[in-house]
Amino acid sequence: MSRVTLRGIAKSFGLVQAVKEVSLDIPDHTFVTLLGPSGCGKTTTLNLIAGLEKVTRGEILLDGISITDWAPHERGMAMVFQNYALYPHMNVYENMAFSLKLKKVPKAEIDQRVRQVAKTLEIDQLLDRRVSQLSGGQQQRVALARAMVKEPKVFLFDEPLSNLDAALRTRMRIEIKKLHQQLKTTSIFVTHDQEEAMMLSDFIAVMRDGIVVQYGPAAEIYRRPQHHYVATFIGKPRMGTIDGNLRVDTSSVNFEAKGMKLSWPRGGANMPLMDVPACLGIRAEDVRLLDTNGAASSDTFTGEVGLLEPLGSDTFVEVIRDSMNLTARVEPDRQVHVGDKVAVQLPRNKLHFFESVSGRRIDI
Amino acid sequence: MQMRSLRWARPTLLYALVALFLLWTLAPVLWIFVMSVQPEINYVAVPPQLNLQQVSLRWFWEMLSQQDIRDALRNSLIISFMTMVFCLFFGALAAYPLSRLNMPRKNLFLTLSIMARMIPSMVLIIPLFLLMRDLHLLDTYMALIITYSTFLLPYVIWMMKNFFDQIPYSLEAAARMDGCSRLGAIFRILLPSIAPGVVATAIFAFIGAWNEFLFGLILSTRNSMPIMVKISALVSASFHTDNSLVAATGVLAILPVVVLVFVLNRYIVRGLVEGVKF
Amino acid sequence: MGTETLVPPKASRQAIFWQRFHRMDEAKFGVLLLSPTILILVIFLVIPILYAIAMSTQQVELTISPDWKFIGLANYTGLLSDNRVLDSIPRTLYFAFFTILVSTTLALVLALILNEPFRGRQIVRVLVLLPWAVAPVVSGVMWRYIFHPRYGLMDAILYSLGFIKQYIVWFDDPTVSLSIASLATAWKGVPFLTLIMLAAMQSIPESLFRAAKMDGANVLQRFRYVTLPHLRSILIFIIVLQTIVSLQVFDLIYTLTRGGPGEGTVVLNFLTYLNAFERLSLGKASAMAILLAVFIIVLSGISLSFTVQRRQKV
Repeated sequence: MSRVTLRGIAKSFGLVQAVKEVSLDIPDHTFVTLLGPSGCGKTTTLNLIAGLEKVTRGEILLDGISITDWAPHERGMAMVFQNYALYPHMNVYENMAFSLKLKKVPKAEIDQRVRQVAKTLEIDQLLDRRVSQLSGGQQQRVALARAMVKEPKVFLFDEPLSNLDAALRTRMRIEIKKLHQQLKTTSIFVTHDQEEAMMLSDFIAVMRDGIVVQYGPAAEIYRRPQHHYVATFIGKPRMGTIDGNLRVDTSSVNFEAKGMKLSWPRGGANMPLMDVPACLGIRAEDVRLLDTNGAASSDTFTGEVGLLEPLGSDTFVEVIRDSMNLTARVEPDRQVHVGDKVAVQLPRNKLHFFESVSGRRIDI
Repeated sequence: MQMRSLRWARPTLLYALVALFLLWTLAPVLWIFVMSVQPEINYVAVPPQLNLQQVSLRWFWEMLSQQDIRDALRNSLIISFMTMVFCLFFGALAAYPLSRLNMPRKNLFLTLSIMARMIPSMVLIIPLFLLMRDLHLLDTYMALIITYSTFLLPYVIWMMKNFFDQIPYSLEAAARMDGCSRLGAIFRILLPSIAPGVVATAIFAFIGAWNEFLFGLILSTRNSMPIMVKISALVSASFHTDNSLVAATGVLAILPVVVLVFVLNRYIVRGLVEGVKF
Repeated sequence: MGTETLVPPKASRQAIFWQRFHRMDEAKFGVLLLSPTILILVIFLVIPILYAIAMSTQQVELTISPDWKFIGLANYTGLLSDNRVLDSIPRTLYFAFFTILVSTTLALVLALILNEPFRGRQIVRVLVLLPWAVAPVVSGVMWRYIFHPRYGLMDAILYSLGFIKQYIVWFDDPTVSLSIASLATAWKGVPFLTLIMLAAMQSIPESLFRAAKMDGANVLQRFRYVTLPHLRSILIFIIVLQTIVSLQVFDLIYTLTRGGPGEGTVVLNFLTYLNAFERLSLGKASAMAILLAVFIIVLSGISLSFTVQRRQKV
């Protein structure tokens, strides 16, 4: 059992507040990703969990026990680093055996465990190699193996895949996922790559400027972003947004922006009335490109095709009107040309609204 | 036509310059070596009559058979070795926090240690003489080991700090996650991973101690007299001694460091360049 | 929530000690590691310096139990009217100037040569490092043997080539003796300076040379407009370094000339030694040593801040 709980932890380096306040509960056996751009405090948070840095404020619990002051080697966690961080003066076997040797595990057992993990990760051919003789992908496997051999309570991953090339990255991603399904060890993964986060995690914590903006199941982060920032950070292509004004009256939901007016029938009964500056957002796959040329209705957005991104499986169409633009996903064989006048339908139940000032989600 | 003549002129000029530099560099060393294997009569002749058949190592054997020379060499070896160990240990301990830890007044200490490198030994020698006399340490190994370490440590700390700086943060993090304490990480992972730098620093400290003269001259009289002081005494008395013997002692005195330079040359080059980076 | 500890209540004292040690604050741990070094440096460096400063204001002789008599700055002002000091200053300046000139020029040329590819370069690089490792005391002996009036290599060569009819007694002339001391100091200094210079040269991007070549610059122009500007701050550094070294010369003179002929090669630092350990006037010697130290620190402070400023500009 290993559940990690962060209670309002903060970390400052001099005057710089790297982590302002982070509270997370990471249940046993889950795979949690700290996601955010560089400088958002995700790596510092990971280092705080590892004990490599000491918190300025707050508390870290492991299975209900405060480990806030513990040294890293007392916490029983293992970490995989972006630049692999293999010991250059040891060969692969020694790298893997090092932590067990420190724990004074009997030699025979060390040997057995090292070889077994090496086999799982298919690096048993490399055991005698020196680190400098390995490729980047091999080094990352060894780093993973070194962490696994310890049989840690928690796995910590610090952007382990960023130094690999695209093909290798995808393969390692799958492998890490398989390993987690097999071992079920609580894992905390740090990355700036939202695709990686979506693919791997049970839960995602989206971070910005030292705080967690949203923490929840991966699917929910995508479907119901609680913040404008999360909405636009997660998802590819970026969620299309339009700044304007949201007015909810007794009969309808209206959105106005720059000489454009959209309205939908009012749905739920207990929706509050409001009239606020807001941002409308919709994902490309939810935008429906209509066949009729420019036949506007109350829930369509008309404009001109600006850019086509044919990806083979899908084509993304950028629809521009004045300075506003949305992206729509269409079938690859659909005939669309740059400059065409088109209309797209924005279905009521696929819309997201965010307060302009705070960026918070408006539930309607 | 002109191009052609230039084509051979350039390498010729280059090799001529190389030859001149080699002559300038090696002549003093070679000459003392020649003197050390020839009877005095051969090089006192005008012009010198060097004779290959009379080459002999007997002056070396004669010096090595003298107890005081053997003692001086042994003293120098022990003192230099101990200084090296001392400097490496305390230098590594000091360089680690200066390179890798967040602590207040770090830069002040680093600046002060640069300044310490500029203090002429002449300032220190009188107080140190009186201090060692009061501690009853005159003419002991301890006095010289401590003194040499004191003036070498600021260099050693800077060299080691610069080597530590090159280790990625994650390597140390990995060691600590794997079960090392901070101290354990220094000795089990960090130092081994900069082994070439440690070797360079060690050579630097050893040679620094081996070649030192002023402190040896003042702080030792007999028991701890290093070879450099012994040589200076021989030279002062060289009107009465066979110069082949003095030359042989000179060769003996530079032999260990010359061997070090030739065997560990590539470490030294890196270490020296690292030592002057601020 | 109270902090529970890893060690059970019955844990031994030792275990608790180590636990505290491992969980120690980063800054405290740093201070702990630094403390032996600080202790050594305070006892054997800082206190002696303070002691030397104190001594420089006293009239004190080197005896079994010296009497101290406070005389203020008299030791310092006395230096201004001391003929031996006044005589040694031009010698010191000549020596320093000549040493810097020779060693910097030779190092620059040697670095340029070693930066060119040629057969046997690796061996040459190792060989030219040799003088760096030779102790100043032994290098004094070596150069003494090069210029010795009875068996000096220089006389032998000149005689064999027919340039002279009779061996020259080099060390009879104070200026020649000083120049030889300079040569010997430069000889020992050149390898290190060359290494630094070579490292600086190798950090010049190759593309600059190619660009200069494309613009039609010849070898000399490439040196003048590409190499030299890049070396400027390192040249300043080298000159300062050599100044410090040559102001502190002692060991070499000790075995090369012992200050002779007469006092022809008694430079400042050597005079300090003579004052302290042959004339036994510790106060005066301390004053001289401290003046020299102050001069050196001020000089290097100025040049260091100068080079730092330059680097920031670039």
